[in-house]
Amino acid sequence: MINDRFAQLIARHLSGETSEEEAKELELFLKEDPQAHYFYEIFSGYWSVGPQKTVNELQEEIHFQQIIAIAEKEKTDSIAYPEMNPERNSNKLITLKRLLVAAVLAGIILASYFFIFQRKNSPVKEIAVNEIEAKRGARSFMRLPDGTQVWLNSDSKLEYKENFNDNIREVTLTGEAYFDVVKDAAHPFVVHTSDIDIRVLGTAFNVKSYPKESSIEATLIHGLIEVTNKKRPSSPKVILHPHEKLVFQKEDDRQVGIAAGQSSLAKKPFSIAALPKKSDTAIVETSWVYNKLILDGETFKEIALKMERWYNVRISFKNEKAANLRIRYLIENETIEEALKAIQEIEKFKYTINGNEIEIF
Amino acid sequence: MNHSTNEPSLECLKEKIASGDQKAFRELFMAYCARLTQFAFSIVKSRDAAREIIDEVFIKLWRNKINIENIRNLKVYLYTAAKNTALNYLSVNARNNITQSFDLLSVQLIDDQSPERKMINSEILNKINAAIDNLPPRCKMVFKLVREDGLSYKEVGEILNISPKTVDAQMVIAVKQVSEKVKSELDIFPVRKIQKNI
Repeated sequence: MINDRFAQLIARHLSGETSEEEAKELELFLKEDPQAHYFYEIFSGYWSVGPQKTVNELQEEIHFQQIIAIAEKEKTDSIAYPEMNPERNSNKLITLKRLLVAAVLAGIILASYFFIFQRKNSPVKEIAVNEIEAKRGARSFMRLPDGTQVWLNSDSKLEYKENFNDNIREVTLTGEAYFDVVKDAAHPFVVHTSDIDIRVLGTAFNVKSYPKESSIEATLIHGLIEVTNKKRPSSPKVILHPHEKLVFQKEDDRQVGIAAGQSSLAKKPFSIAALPKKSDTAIVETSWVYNKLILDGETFKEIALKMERWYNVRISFKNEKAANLRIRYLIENETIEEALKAIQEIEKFKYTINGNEIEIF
Repeated sequence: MNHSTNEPSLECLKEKIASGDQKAFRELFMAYCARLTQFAFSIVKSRDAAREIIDEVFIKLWRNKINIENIRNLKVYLYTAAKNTALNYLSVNARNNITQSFDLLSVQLIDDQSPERKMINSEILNKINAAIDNLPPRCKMVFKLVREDGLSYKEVGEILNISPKTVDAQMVIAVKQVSEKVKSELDIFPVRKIQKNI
């Protein structure tokens, strides 16, 4: 599956041994083979996160002083090594006992170091959580500490801890956000939603996870993402490729009850769709990032939900026919009134606006 | 980049150490002691012995600091000295067959269970660790020196007395082994359904 050349390039690249051409060759390999790309991401993640070693500085200092003490004490024993040729080392190992003797001798010198290097334990701080919110009717943009750009759609909230850059870059999302993630193989980027975790292997993607909706959606624009079902961590993870959209049906108690019987939903909560290849701004799922709301043939009732968030209003339907209208429209800078008027040109209906309450009849 | 950028400049340190600068020697010690000890441990598999071995390397170096400037590559020297002392510790006769000895050794790598890996799920992590652990000894040692110690192919070649091409070939073996073991993880592909927009 992985051919020799590819393996060679990966090894060289991770060790810092690739030439510029080889790096380009590797990039090409990765672009053309998503499976290989995924392997590369896994392996480079494993490679770069080295084991963290805690060093006791005081102990190291004592250790160092012992070395010096022994080296200087036994000067008379030294054999000349004019070429510092390691092949000529003697077999004699310095025993533990000698080290202890040296330690006692060094004790006096060490006493002073002890005071200099002693450190007071700093109190363990609670890690603060930062929160960004976009209220209904508003969208906001922010940058995470690593430079990742996040656009929050209306009625959404993003949380991240202050130690964001430490190990894994983790955020928790309620609502909808578009992420343009700064690439850093050593620090995986993870988005937690109520039911699924999304691990980013690539760069740009959209996640929609509103508490009141029955499904969670993830749309990938560039790169690769891996989605895990939090409630069933042992079930297979799903990998998304660019221009694919995943819809996850949340399991509520009702569904789990049905699962015993037949419901395929409980077994396969994920479904993937390939998006038509359009430019980023024209894709429905991410148009909001560019301040456009694309209404792409859904019913008025379904669209009302989006419009509610976009404009921070409440829309109720007294007109069944209007509610089932299918609408294709692009909202850019229109006010809610202008938008409603435009929709009226398609089908007759009336509306009233009372502050934030809109009634369609 | 694998080569650590916060390693003290070795040329500069060499000069200072030669003239008896203890601070410079301490810098060298702090930068390499742990890594070298781990390297020695991977050969002798005893923490105490590994520590004694590395102590000896540094003690000898300090005693003969006047001649330190004759060493072309200090990093390679340290690893090579550690390797030789470790092999000597294992067997008196090993001196003659230094590269071959690795085929008889079982190399002990760092046990990688750090929590930072939690997003590479533990199943994959275990598979990768198992793959690396099952590499032939010389291949495993090469992989360890390149990845854990951040040594270049050239440096590894000098330490182990093999050509950089051999190092490269060993790395290819290692990567391929890992990919074989991880294969099943890569076969999960989503079921594709094309949905039409109404």
